Amino acid sequence: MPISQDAVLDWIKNCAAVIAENCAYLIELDLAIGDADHGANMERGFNAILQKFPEMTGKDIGSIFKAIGMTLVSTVGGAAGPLYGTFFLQAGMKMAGKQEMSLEDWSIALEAATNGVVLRGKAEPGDKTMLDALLPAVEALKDALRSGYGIREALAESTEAARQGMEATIPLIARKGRASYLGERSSGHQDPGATSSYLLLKAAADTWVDL
Amino acid sequence: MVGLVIVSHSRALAEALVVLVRQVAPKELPLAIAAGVGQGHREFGTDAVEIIEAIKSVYSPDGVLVLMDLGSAVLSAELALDLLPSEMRENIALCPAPLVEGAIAAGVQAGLGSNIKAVFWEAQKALDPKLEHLSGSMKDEVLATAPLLSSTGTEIASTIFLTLQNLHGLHARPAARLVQVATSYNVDITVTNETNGTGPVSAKSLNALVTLGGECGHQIAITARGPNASQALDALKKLVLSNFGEFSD
Repeated sequence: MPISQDAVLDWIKNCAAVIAENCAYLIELDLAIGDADHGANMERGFNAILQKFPEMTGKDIGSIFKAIGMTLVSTVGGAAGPLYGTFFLQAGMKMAGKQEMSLEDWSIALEAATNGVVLRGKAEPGDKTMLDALLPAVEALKDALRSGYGIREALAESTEAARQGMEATIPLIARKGRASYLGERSSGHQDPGATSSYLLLKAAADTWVDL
Repeated sequence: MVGLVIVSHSRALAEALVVLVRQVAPKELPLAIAAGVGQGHREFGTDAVEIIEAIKSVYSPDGVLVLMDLGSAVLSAELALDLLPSEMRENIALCPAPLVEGAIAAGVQAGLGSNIKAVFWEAQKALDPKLEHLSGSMKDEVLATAPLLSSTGTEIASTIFLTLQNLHGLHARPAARLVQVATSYNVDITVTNETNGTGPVSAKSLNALVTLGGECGHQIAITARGPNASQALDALKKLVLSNFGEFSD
């Protein structure tokens, strides 16, 4: 069963809810090793996206992703703005004109989105960033597709890889972003960006589980 | 006239910086800011779309220099550049100079009608006056490793301050030795005579070095800019400290 435009909008609505629920948690993570605004920034961004729903309804998936990307760019404020903005803009370019996505399309979109984040932020695996959740998720999804998994299992695998990647950031010493100013003191704390990435991907799996 | 765009997480900081720049630049200088997000730009943060609008507002074929504070301001500026048409992108430079010092140096230079390369160069050197002024109160070891540019890639500039101890200073033979060492490194190296205020001149030109009039006891500053800057400086430091191999002194 393909992922329709409405299913994409449902995902985004769920993202907004998950971010709101976890806002304080994301702030707490960012307080430990950042400037304590990741939760608030992401909430501002997703609230702005919710306001755009009337314009996005009925548009192709590429346009929806692009609108999300541009909204995040303009409202999030911190590094998550240009990074998640690029994420959605790149996904949008790959899904241009599509009214629905197959699982393979989603894999292509997620990979392009993640590559966009790599090029924008210039981080590498192990730098203690959102990529430490996103990169494993991309690979797990590709593996699941190659193994012929259905959408439910494939997304479960991908989400689990993101979760493990997120937890693996705990001992890492940050090499990017505000956390990198803390050096060794950044170790022992989970990265807020990897956490929000995991939450967004989990929301996708939870939203599309019955497709 | 080259236009300037100031990108900062803080609206207040950007607005104050505009006031400072306006004190040293003519009113014709095209100057715009992109700073702060949320209601009334009161939250700290940057917005690539606002940066695009700021660039467009000061754009001309003379180009635009963009100065940023740190972190996501740079990411937002890079994203803004990616979203602009390529014809404009060619004339826009993101400058890694320090924000306050760079904006003032750029404002002065752009106000004089200089081209974008000259404005960029002056902004990059904007820390030099402060470094030079404080060098007397800084220990040599700190000076030797003080980078003048924060790295966005490979361009790191460092300066060392040395005193000429050899009898004849920087005359023909020692200068030739310096040129020999300097030219073996693929980096930009300049020398300034801090004592008589001449320079900077290229360390790779014998004629240029001789114009510094370096005498015994003069303090010189050697600046290297490029990926092997520190190796070049180490070699030159050794050369000067060994009195250019002049045993008769």
